[in-house]
Amino acid sequence: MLQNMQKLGKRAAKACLLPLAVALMCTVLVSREGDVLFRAQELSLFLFSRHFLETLAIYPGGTLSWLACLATTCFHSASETFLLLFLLWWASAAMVIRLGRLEGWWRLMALLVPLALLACMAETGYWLYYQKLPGHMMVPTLGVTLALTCASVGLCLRKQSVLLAQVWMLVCASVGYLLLGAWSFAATALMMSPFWRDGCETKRQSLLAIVLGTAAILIVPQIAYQHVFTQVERSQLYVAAMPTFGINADDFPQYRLPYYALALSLLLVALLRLKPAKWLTREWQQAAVALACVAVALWGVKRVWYTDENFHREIRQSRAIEEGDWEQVLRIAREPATEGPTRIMVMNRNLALFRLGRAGDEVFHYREGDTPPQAPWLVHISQVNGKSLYYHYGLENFCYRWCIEQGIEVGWNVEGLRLMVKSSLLNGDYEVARKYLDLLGQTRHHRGWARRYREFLHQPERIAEDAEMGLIRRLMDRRDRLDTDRMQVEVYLLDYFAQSPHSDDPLRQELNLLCAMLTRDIPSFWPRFFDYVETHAQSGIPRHYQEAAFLYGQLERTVDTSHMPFDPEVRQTYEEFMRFNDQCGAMTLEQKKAAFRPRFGHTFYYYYFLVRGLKTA
Amino acid sequence: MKMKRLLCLLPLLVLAGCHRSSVPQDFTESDAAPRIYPDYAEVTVPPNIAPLRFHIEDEGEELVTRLSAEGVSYVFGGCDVCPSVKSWRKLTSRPGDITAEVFLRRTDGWQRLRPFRIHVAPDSITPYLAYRLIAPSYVAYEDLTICQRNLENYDERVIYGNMINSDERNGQCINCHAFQQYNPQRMQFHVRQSYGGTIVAYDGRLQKVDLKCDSLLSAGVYPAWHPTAPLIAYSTNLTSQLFHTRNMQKVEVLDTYSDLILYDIEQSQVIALPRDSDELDCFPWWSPDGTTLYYCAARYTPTDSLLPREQDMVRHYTRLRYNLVARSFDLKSRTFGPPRIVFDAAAQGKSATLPRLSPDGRWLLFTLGGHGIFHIWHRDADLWMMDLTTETARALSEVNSPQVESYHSWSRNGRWIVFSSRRDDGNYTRPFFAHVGKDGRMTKPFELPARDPLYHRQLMRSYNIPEFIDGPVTTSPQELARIVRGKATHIPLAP
Repeated sequence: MLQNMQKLGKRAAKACLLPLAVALMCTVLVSREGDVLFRAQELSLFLFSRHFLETLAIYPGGTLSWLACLATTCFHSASETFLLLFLLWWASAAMVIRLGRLEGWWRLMALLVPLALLACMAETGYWLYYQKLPGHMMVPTLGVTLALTCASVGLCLRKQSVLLAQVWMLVCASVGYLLLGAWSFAATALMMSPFWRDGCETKRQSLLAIVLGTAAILIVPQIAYQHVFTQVERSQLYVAAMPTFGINADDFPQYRLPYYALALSLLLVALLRLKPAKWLTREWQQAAVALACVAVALWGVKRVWYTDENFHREIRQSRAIEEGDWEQVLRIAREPATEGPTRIMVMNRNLALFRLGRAGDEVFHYREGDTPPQAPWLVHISQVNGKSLYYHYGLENFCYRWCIEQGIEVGWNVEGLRLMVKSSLLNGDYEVARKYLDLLGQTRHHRGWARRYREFLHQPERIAEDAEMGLIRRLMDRRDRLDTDRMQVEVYLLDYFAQSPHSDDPLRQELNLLCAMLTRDIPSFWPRFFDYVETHAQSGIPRHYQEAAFLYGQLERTVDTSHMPFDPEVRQTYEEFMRFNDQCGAMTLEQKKAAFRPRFGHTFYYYYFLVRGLKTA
Repeated sequence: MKMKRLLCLLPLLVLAGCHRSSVPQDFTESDAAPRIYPDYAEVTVPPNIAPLRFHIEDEGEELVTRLSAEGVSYVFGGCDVCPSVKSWRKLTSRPGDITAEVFLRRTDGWQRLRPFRIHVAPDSITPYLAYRLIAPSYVAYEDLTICQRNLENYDERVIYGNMINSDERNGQCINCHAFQQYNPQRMQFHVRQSYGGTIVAYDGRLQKVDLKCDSLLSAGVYPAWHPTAPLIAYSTNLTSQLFHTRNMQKVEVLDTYSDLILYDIEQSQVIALPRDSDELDCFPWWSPDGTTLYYCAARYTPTDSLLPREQDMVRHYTRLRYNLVARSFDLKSRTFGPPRIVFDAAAQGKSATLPRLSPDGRWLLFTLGGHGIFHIWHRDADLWMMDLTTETARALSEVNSPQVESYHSWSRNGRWIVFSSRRDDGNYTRPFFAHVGKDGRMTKPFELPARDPLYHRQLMRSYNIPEFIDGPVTTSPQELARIVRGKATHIPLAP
């Protein structure tokens, strides 16, 4: 009885090991990358419409992309993400065990496939904004799961009839190519694998399967090119529905490593179907090999996992901005970090400070920086959150423009559609806003948002009363001019407001003054400072504006500042700064920065003299 | 037991599937017109057009629509009214009216909304339409297709799509498809950037040519096939674009320089028209007999000689106004006469572009806007037509809308026009068709019918350069792709 119980326990432990390992992988991914997955969902689109499927189906593997877009909608909720990935990865691992007839320690090898899939997702990073394959984060998982399913069906059929199995293999190679793109090759390759002959087929039949399978893999895409698809480049035929890792003229092959690992793990599975070699007959030998493979895979996953802290902060800030949680944007900006902030983070932070009305007092209380995003290509602000910045600063045409440009280049997405709705509402372009609301109304998670914003179409006067759009409307210029930002969002925004003519709106006056101060453009500063003082004198002039005025008064004698009622600390800090500067006369700029930061890092004086040469893109 | 229950349910399910909507017997009359999309109420259609499917936006518990013409009627349930091609043919078999009645059931019973009619004209329409599908982008482009649509049904096929020859490193823009006299065998289009050149198909002969010469501003841009001879007139343009910071029109496209050239396919040479550096010439078009070349022309003299021309133009872009001009053409000597103004738009403070003559040569259709050349981005752009026998022009108020009306072309029989309009949403261009009476009066235009009535609301691309053709282009996209990949033949400038 006890022995039976022990056996049962062992079997249960064995059975639970795989799902537990997969669950652990899912937990790690969801807990560490939950914000990235949520953002991936915002930067993707799935519509419940035939037209949407038809749009994707013009490419080989379009149906897989369609499914992947649907699956990406699950990233809206952590539990759904967990459940979906767990089921798909577990199913993949279970099919690998069945296909490879893995037993004992070899069962651990089934983890290689989900680990490779995990790596495909974990390496994403800034590809989130550049990857053109619709549903790219879920394509590998679904592609592999479906390929393994096809192979499993093929092997079952072979037990009934070898001929039927071969027909099935050809169906998978042909129809599969149309639906799954290059992922169908994996299914075909697994089915024609010579390692799985195991008595079902004669040698001749096995050879025939190899010839047929290879021919199908080579020929089907060519036939499809000639007769089915009119929008596929010939060199892309054999990598259809695979993510591309190229930006303009540059190719980044290092991002394909997880995909090679995936192919290798499937090859290993096929090989393991062979009877274990003589030298691997002992249990400890099998355990050692299997554990070593898993360990290497784990090391590989760790190596490719994208771990840029700033990237995560940018993403969390974006979400906070979308939710209008400006304090959260600042909390993220204050988090201790080993590296300085990226320009995107600085711009998000400045926007939050401006929206909270604290920029004049606090904008230099945060760390400055221009840490480049950790990507081997130049990441442009316009391609990451430029749209959102333009929207919040009232440059609605530029917001709309970048939504369109990006929608065309990397695919329409929820974030872009929402911003186009809002910018169109603010522009009074209601009919096109209705178009985008109709599209959002067909999504899974954003139809409620669409319903809420549709009300503005019926009552446009309510736009001015809306907490977010009402304020943005005040920032919008009435005048029009022809201009271009040359993809330099930060420089353009700063110059645009710093050079703006007089405005009667106190909010716009503050923005103009803030930008004039940040550009260190003294001639622009004074008129905007006087505009500001005129309307804000009662509420007190924020510290940094006083510092700038005091400093400019000292540097240039164009404006007499002697009668201006500066706070005593403004004058005192300036004098201390200058005294300290005299003491540090021989230092280099970098040495000065380090020496001045603890005492003066939060002042305009430090920003003016020592924060120089920041790079923005 | 369960199986038995399922079997019992089966006939019910079959019956439910076969349920046909019927027109209610008792209803009250309502004076309200049904709200339908696309707006097909009181439009005039050719007998050979694809079924006009529409979506009813009025809300009710149940909707029934009856379409009836002489001797036939069809009833549709639900908010999408989707007649089949076969039933539509019966409805349009004779000139006359199709009456559409929408019955709406609300809590207080059935109502019949005010019926509307669809008028069937006796004149058929040229059966195919070619256009480019392009997202309304500013700088970026990705997936562009030149398509052909059978207007008698919903078949749409790609003539050539850029992605067949594009990858991440080698992007390709395609544009300006044009046909000689509606002939799908005589076609041209441009490819820019990767594998750049002009593809010319002429009676089965496909070739890729490079029309760029050092002394020309650019390769050929906006084309116009001579109606009979193997000649194509082009404008050559140096174009730039800038963005409006506030104006809803969003973008302004300017030609800093533009001229005209003539490509002689047979002689394989380019002939440059005499040029004047202060004159901007664009959008050529031939008279039906091929003896006159129409185009639009503006005079531009820089106001500040210290500024680069583009910057100077940006300052005064609203003052840039084009007139319609014509030059006589001698086919034998390939020479042009002096320019004469046909329509002085600048005198009216307007700018006229895209002259297109009706096949009988009587009507000159053009686009008129407040300023500039690229009227597709100008909300004030409207269609105008000039009667060349009386030289009087008028705005086509019967077809214009508050939004952009721009590119247009005539059907082979001259009884229909197709034109681009952004009236649906102000941003996405859709083709509309209108019937032209003998007196030049037009009827209310109708939007290109789609299989799914809501298709155009979902489509994130614009229809660009709608051109009628007599039949389909039979050269496959793959064959065109092969030609595009090939080397371009350089066409020299005639001495």
